Amino acid sequence: MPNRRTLGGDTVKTSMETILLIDDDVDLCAMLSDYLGRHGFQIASVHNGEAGLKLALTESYAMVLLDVMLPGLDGFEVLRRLRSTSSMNVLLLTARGDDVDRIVGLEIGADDYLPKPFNPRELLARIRAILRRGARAESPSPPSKQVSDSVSALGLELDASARTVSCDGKPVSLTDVEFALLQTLMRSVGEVVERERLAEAVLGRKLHPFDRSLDMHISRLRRKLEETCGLGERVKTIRGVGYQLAIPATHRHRGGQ
Amino acid sequence: MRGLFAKIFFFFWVALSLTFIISTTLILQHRFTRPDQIFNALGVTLKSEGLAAAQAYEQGGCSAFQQYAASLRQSVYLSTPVGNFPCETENSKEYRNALSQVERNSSVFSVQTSTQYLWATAVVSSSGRNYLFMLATPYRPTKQRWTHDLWHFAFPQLPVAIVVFGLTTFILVLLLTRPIARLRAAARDLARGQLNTRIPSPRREARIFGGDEIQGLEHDFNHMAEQLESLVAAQKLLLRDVSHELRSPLARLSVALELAREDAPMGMSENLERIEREAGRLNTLIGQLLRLSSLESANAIVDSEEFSLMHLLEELLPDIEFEALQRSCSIKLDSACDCIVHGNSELVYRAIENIARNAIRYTKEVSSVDIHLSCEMREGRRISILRISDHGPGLPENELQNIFRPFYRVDTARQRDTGGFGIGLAIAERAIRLHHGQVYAINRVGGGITMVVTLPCNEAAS
Repeated sequence: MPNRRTLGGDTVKTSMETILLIDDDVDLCAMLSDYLGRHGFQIASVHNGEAGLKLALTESYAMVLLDVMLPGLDGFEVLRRLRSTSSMNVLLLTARGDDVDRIVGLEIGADDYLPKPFNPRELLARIRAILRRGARAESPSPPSKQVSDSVSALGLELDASARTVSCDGKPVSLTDVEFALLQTLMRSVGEVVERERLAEAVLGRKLHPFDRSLDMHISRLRRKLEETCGLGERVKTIRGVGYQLAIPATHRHRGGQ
Repeated sequence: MRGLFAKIFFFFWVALSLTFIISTTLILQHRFTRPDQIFNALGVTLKSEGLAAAQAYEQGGCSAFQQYAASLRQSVYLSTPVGNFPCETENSKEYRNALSQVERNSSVFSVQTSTQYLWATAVVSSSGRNYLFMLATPYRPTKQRWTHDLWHFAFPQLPVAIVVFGLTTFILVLLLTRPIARLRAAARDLARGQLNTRIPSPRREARIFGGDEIQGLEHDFNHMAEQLESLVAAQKLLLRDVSHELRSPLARLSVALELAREDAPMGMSENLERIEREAGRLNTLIGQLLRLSSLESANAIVDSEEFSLMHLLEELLPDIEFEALQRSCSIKLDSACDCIVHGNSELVYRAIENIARNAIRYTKEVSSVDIHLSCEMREGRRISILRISDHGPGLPENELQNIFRPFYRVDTARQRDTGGFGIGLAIAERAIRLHHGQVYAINRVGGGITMVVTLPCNEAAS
């Protein structure tokens, strides 16, 4: 993702970032292109799933806005195929009133979701939150520079500037959300990080009382860590409080920073 | 149903038994012929026997008469009309006395002596002499009564008949009322909103009366239920589809509005904000409608988990307190116990939130909304009871059930100034029902409404 990497967190507004919009509503695409264009984003819109997937896989975009209800290849299928090779940011536009959609979407690996119809200002805020997080993960903003770019714990190595994670030497491919999650957890390894703090740091917004986005991301991160080096169990859920990257007794000498 | 069963059973049983008793009585009455008939028949026999006896006596004297009497194998006597017995006869004196006292008012008359009962008739022999011919039967001092005879005749048959009638009537009534009971249960389920209720296809007993009226009724009922179900489904589908279809234009509208807002001159912004507010309201309404329709089509709870009701209320409190503050109201929460509910916490949260918001909307300004949680055992199951009471105007009793209907409005004027779509309570009710609970409203004694939410639950682990 070269064009994303060249951007700093605060330059989003001025430079043009390209967002791929996959939605079958032509009028809506035109208006969104206009609206987001005014706020510094360039929009490439496609109106069906196949074409959208092809573009997403061949070109590189800052992120994908993906509508769930698409003719032919639906949004979930596009996302599933995209996720098999790419960790590109995806904001899923789910149908309002359908709770299953957002759960399924997050399970497949969407970074966030927004029920449609949405307020465009809300969409803009979500896009910015996702891109800011991506940018921060790559080139940390001043406050996080005080902490070192790379963190290691439990055999996990996280390099923020290279945006890579390795586990016992093996690379782990993470989406931006998962990366940010792991980074936040590793910075306070052994401590419980509250849900609110995690949501703020990772999703860039407050959680509604029953927003399961964070839990979904955690479970995906857990699965990836488990598959790579069997560390899934270390990501602990503290019911009603938040999450913790727990250190087992044998690892304690290596724990922390 | 018990009533109909008892009625038919009792009437049929009694009717059959009475028929039996009456017909038996009539038959018995005919069998015991009347006394004059007996006398006539007896008279004819006695006369012919008397003639034969007189003939024998005149031709062969006493020995011939004795012979004839022996051939009859009965005690018979012959005498002159005044009572002189020409042949040797036991008790002849006594008989003569008795004969002299009796009135001879018919061709056959009876005479009672101390040991015998004499049936006597006057005969005239071929030679023209008059005789009295008598038949003696042993005298029974106590005459049996008529009812005794009836009992004698009825004893084995009547109880057996009554039992048999009882059994057959029982089976008949069972055949009649069982399908009606089934129909009634099905109708009740249908009324409760289970539109997929059907009466199962006829079983063995129905085959006996194959294709009778009751079966026809069951068939028609099933047909009616099918029609109802498809109509209601179509209506719900329409509501859902309309809401679905409204989303796309609304999505375009929101973006277009935002574009217009950015381009608009200063004077326009107020109106545009108003449009945005309305679009937002429309969006909320569509979301609620879709939520309601998805709840109505749901049969089971997805995302089931165990959660503490008290914890959920504490989480809810800050949300609704904010709203209450705007009406200068307070919220009082107290609980007698905590309950662990199994279900979708979000659905329950939203349901209670909707009910609480409704209470805040209707309570008087500068008053309070009281939330009280308690537990009870009902039919061996633990039930949590949540009461949410407002201090509002209350509702007429007959409106209390209707408020859970979507878009139901008690008073349009009042609804308008309190806002809302009249769909929140419907959502709450469906969500609670999905958790096998209940919601209902009752008027409080001091004015206002208490919404009661019951949910099956477990005891909280301490």
